Amino acid sequence: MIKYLIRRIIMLIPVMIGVSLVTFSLIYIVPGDAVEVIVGERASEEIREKAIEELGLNKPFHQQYLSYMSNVLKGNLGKSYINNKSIKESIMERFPITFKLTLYSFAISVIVGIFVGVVSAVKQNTVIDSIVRGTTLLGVSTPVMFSSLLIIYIFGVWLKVMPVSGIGDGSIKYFLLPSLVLGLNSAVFTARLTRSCMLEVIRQDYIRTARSKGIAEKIVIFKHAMRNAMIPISTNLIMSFGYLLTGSVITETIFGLPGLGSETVRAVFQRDIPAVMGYFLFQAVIFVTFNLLVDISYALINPRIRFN
Amino acid sequence: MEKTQLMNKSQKKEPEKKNKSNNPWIIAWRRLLRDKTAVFGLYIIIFLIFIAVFAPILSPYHPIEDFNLSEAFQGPSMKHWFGTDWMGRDILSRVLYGSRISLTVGLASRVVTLSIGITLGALAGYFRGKVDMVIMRLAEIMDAFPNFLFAIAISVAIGPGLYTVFFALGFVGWSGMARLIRGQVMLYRESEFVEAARSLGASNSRIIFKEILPNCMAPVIISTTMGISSAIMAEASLSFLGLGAQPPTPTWGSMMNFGRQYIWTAPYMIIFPGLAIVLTVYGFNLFGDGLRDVLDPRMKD
Repeated sequence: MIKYLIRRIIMLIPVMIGVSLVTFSLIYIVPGDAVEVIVGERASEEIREKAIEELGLNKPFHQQYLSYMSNVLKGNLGKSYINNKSIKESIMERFPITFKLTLYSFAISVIVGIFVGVVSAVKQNTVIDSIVRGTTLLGVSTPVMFSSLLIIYIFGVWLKVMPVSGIGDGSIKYFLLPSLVLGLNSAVFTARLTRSCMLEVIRQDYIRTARSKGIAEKIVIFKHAMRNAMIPISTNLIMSFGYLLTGSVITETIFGLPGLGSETVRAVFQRDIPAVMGYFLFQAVIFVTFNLLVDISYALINPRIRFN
Repeated sequence: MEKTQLMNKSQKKEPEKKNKSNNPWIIAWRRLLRDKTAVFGLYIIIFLIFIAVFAPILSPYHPIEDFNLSEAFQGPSMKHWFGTDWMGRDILSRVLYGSRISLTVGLASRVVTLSIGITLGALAGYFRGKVDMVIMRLAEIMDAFPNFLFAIAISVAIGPGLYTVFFALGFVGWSGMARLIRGQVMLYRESEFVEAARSLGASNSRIIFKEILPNCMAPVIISTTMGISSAIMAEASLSFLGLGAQPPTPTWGSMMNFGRQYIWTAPYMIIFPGLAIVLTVYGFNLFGDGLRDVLDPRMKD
């Protein structure tokens, strides 16, 4: 297992180099001069050239890339072109907000998703099951911006019991609505997955054996079936955490939460190149880490993978 | 693997007893038409295609040119069923025209995904060795990016616009498609019918395109149908951020983006394009679910 782990982690190195190269190239071809962002459109030729010289933007691609990456390895992600703030600091300031949002959403997704999924599987082919299948598919088809805006309208115009925008003092009530939207959005996927995993398990012979031994249905479901169905479900949940962590761009933007997602959008639109670069690398590292966690959990469950 | 092959065989034998036609596609189609929810999804899709094609005839107003500032912010009425936006344009007409963008993006982006994914996946699975290694490493790099962020990055790098959306949303899906094709090609490349073609002197490209790929169509069709709905969803999100087709082109995402500022007074500016997205994605998801049940019996519950 340790051998497998080490091999997987070593394999990440070329992937991360590839990720940084792709991001750097994408930014390299961004239309509109990077210098204009810093010195303004009406700056004189002299100032422009001085800025280009200082930033090393006149150097060839590979030199720019190498000098950037050597800084990154030293833990220096550079400074924003717009507000001169350290990128590392911005990440440390904003990532906790995204993390909180993800954590609350994840909790909602797990609790609601698994409960609904199990109920639907146990009551297969009943009215409850059809209602669950219909609603979850409708949920899967609803874009998160639409549900966000509907929730904002409902709570802002009719109920008026909760803040619908911004972070205020950072207390939990500012996170409730965005977490609800993001959590339910993810819960419908969890519910569908739980349902099909449970049905897969319920069909197995050992469940029939357990039932024929006269064990109470509740125990069969929760002790025998749930335990085995949880294996594929939990691997998928790890992945969904990774998705939530990097996928809250729209929710953060709509609810005005100053997390990493909305900050990335800001940086992208203002062509704040060092910021874009830093945020992308950071989020790719997170995403890759969760991919790795999923693979490890697979390997723990299924020893055959380790020797492949 | 053994289990799947067994099931495939039993699936192929079964229809011979029931139906006279033994073309597996015709049989699959008949079974699909018996699935009520899939047929409902199919009706929604046909309805949307009808709207997209006949948008100029169905729309009461022109979506871009018929603006009238004195009629801005009108709620739904007999004159304007879905109300008017901040420029006094008819929202119903704009929603109808918006279907054109969504459906085109859904299809065009799949063409991009399929062409890159099938080519690279078939090469990797058929030739193995170094080709396989390089392509799979590229796929791993692709998978390291969160898809939506990567689509945003591409849109910004080549400049926002409709064609950028086709490419960005098509490109982010290639690694998944390549993996799928690679797995299928590896499954069939040692099979007897491929061996037979090879011994008859068929060229590599003939073996790949005429012998192997036609046998991989079922999972490709399932994943493409599902891909259409996620591409439509992603297009709406990109447009919502201002990275899709640029104004004044009516897209559902950008209508919601502009409507957002007026949410307190004019929620109908968001509700109608939003419902249009839900209906479209729902239609493709229903149809895709039905297709999966028919083409991949293992997934049926």
